[in-house]
Amino acid sequence: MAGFTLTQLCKSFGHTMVLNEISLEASDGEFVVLLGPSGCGKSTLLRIIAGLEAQSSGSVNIGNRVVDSLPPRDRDIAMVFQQYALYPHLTVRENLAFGLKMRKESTAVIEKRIGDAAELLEIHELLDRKPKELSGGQRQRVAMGRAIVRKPKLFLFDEPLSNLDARLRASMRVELKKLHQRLGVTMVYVTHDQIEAMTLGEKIVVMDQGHILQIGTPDQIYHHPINPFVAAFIGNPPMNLIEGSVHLEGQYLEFHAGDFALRLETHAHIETAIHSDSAVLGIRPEDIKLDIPSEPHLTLSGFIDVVENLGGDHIVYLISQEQHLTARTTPNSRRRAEDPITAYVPLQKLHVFVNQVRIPLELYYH
Amino acid sequence: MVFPALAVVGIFSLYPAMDSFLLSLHRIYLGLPSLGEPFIGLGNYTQLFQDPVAHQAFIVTLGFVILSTTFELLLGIGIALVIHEHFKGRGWVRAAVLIPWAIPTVVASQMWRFMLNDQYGLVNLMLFGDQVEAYVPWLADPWMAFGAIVLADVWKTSSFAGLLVLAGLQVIPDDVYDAARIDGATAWQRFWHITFPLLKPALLTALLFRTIDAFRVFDLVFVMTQGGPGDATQVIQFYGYKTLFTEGRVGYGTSISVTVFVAILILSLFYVRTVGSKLLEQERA
Ligand SMILES: Nc1ncnc2c1ncn2[C@@H]1O[C@H](COP(=O)(O)OP(=O)(O)OP(=O)(O)O)[C@@H](O)[C@H]1O
Ligand SMILES: [Mg+2]
Repeated sequence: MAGFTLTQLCKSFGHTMVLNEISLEASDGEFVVLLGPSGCGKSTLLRIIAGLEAQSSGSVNIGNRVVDSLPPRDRDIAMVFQQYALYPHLTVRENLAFGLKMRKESTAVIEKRIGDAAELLEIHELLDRKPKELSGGQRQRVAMGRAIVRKPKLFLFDEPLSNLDARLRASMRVELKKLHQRLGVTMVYVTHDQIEAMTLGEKIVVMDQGHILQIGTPDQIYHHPINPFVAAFIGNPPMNLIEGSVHLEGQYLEFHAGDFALRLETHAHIETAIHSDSAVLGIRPEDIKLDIPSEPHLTLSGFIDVVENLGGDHIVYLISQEQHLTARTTPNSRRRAEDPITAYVPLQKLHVFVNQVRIPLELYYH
Repeated sequence: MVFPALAVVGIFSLYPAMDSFLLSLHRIYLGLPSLGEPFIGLGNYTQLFQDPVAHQAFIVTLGFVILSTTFELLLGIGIALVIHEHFKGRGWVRAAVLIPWAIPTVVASQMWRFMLNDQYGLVNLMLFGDQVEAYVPWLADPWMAFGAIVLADVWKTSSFAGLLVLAGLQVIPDDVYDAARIDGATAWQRFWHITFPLLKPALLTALLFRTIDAFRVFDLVFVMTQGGPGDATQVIQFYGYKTLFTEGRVGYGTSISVTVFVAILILSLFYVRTVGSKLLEQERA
């Protein structure tokens, strides 16, 4: 059993608070992704879990054991770094063996573990090379190998793929997923790439400025983002966000943003009226349909600004009631800039945030 | 564009070196101009290789090189490790450490001579206070005098070795240490398995500079001991100086200088060839 629990972790460097009341739980074998913009404290959190950095307050529990006073070596963890951090003067074999030697494992065990890891990662022919003789992708494999041979309870990854080119990143992503399925060990993975987060994570932790904003499965985060920040951070192209005011009363929801007006009839009855001038209406680009859907929907009319052809998809930038919107649709070669267009959004795909908090609209439609 | 550079090298290094070499092929006594300046081929050199005083001077020099370089490198590593750490006032400590190195050697030597003086020296005062009868004439004892010039040199140049080592420390990335901590290496193991091997290029550079410099030691001896007592601290350069300027044996004295020059040249070439190539190889890592 090696899940982990973080309880109200705080961290300050001098007077700057970098982590604020971070609490998080992961079960054994879970793949947890820490996602957030640069500088939000992801690496710091990972380093605190590893024991490389001491927290200012709060507690870390790994595998039902409080490890706050333990140095990294006694926490039974392995870490893969963004810059690989291979020992430059040692061969790949020696790099893999280093941690085992420090723990005084027998030569037979070391040989066996290196052999297994080399096979798993297909790095047999690299074993006698020095790190400088490897490509970026190969270094990344070796760095993972160095973590694997230790058979830790918990793997920590700090943006391990960010130094690779896009193609290699995609293939390493898949390999990492396979690796997790095969080893079944708890992993914490830091990234600011939402695609990595969505594809790898079983649990995504969205962070910003030292706070956890939302914890959830990829689907929860994607379909029910808790606030406009999370909504905009996940998804490509990003969600359309229109700022305006909202009025909810009885069975009606009214949203205004300049000329853009929207009035919906909901199924539920709202007892207490809600009115806010700080509201955001969110629409995912793929939820803007160009064919009339069968479900209840909102109709937007306007004209096409630009069409981007991605091959499999078209990204249509359109302007409706002075609002710029992005739609992701199936290709259609007849669309031209300046053409009039009518678009439809199924009502249950609308996201409404009032005072930075999501209104669970879906409740009103089911 | 190469020509001006070549001309400068020619005028300022090649010409004096060649001229010295030519001088060393003659017998010249400054005090006896009537003897003329006969050409004697390598006569001065054959004499030098049989000269027991020169042998003694060579052994003293070798001892000085080995001892001072060893201590300077060890201390240099220590200094570098300390000033590499983050602590308040590190900038000041770094500057302070370099002070001995910044003082001109002649001044530093004079300072050490005063401090080791048998009657009013600071060292005697600190060790024995007002028990004047216990005062030790440090520079009058052959071994102590030798120790004193080694000590003065170590005091003066360890920080320079430290600076070279520090430069080596600074290129080792922090996350390599993080990786080693997670891999379970203790502080000592991190030093021995990570820092030390990665520091090798810097250590070799420091070694190269320090041996060559120590081999040429002159001013320390000139100021502190004048080669004495007896010939106990007479290093080869000082012997050359003495024959040349106090005894006026220009040809013979010059042959000593040329020999030292050639020895250092060979030493440098050896370093650059063996050590240097490895060094460059490592740095490309
Ligand atoms: N040793 C330190 N001393 C002072 N401030 C630090 C230190 N380490 C990190 N910080 C600050 O803490 C904040 C969070 O840093 P951290 O490295 O955890 O961010 P991150 O989310 O990993 O960013 P990135 O995606 O760029 O790696 C940053 O504002 C950073 O400047
Ligand atoms: Mg980071």
